[in-house]
Amino acid sequence: MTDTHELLKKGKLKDGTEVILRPMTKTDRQLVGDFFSRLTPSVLQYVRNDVTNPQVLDKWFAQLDYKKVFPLLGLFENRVVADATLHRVTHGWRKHLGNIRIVVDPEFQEKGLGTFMINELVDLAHEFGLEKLMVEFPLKAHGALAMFKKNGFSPRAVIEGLMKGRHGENLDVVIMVMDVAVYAGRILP
Amino acid sequence: MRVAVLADIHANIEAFQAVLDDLAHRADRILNLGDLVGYNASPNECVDLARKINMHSIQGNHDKAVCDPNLAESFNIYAHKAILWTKDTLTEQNTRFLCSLAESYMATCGLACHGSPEGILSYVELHYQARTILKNMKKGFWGQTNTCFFGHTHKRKIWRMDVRGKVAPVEIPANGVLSLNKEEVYLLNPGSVGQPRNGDPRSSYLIFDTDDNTVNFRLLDYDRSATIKKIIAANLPEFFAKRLIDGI
Repeated sequence: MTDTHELLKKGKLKDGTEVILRPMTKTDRQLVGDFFSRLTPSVLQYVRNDVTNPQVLDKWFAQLDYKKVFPLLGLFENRVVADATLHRVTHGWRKHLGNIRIVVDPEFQEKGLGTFMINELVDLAHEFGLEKLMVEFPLKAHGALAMFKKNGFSPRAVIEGLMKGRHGENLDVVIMVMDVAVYAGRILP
Repeated sequence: MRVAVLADIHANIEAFQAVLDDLAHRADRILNLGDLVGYNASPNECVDLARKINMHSIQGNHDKAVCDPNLAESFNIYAHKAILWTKDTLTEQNTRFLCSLAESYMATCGLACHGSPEGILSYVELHYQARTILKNMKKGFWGQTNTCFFGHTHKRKIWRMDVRGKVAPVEIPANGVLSLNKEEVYLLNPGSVGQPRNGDPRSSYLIFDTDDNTVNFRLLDYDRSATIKKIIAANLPEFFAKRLIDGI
């Protein structure tokens, strides 16, 4: 049977911009590379991997496994403008727990794209049987703090000096957690 | 009277048929808590069968999404794709049937709902959620009953409020049989026929005996490989096939 329905979702941002959310596939190597190459060092400083290194991205695409990392792309006019990932461990004491990471193109920040993508990942986490979601980022990232609070996360810990900034300065890290069952299926995009 | 309570059949005709075969001599009536369609690849077969047999059905969120595009839009990417496929696949008559279903039903054996008595999308998964529903049941918010059947989570579960008002989950015995106390209030989830998520891939349903106030949770195997083949042939997400093997 022909696949008439692709695995994607359309949404409208606060300013009316239409975006598409869909899982990253192996054919997205170029689009994802272009996205990270457009971002400035200040945006990339909190990204865990050196995404400016083509070999790092090659490895991501070679090892694509949705059971371990579910990568969700936000696209505008066939251009990646955000990348959110849901990380999980398939066995052991953390198998009920998911970890979220997100990078949004500054041009698309404060337009509701981050919220839209986090909502989707919360619903997917529920679909995958996860019970809790966790996210960690620098305490001074006030925009991220507000966004995750809006999505049902609450701050559970602040650890002083856990992160280093790109100029070597110590940064405090906030850890936020949410119970998936409380929010899944309730937040409409 | 013995009432078989089924939930979340989700277009899995092999599981549905296996459950019907199993309950044939065990139950007098059948109650379906919603979500006849969604996820799996036999929506018409399941709705045809549901209409053919003497089964009282209420509406689940996936049934409702077939008739409500806004609700379908709010589904996650996987469930959304499945509901669009389902909508295209269902006959007009079966679509009409799903759209005509009520969201809850006060049966003689208790209150029947999909998510919770509060709504079709509500989940009863956490302690505080169960406590809120049980307290309101005791106050008679949704009519006078001590028993409420719900689905939506795809997980077998019993929540009990004792005479002192304390709410706690009740462990389901290995043989699946449990006597209910008429002075206590219960929330009972039979698990899912077509997509169980308890970590056990077997189909799950329950039989409630209103005469001796006992509940019998039943688990049974079905031809899973046939269901999986249909999912793949329909080009539905492979994840739907894999989860039937793992029971997640």
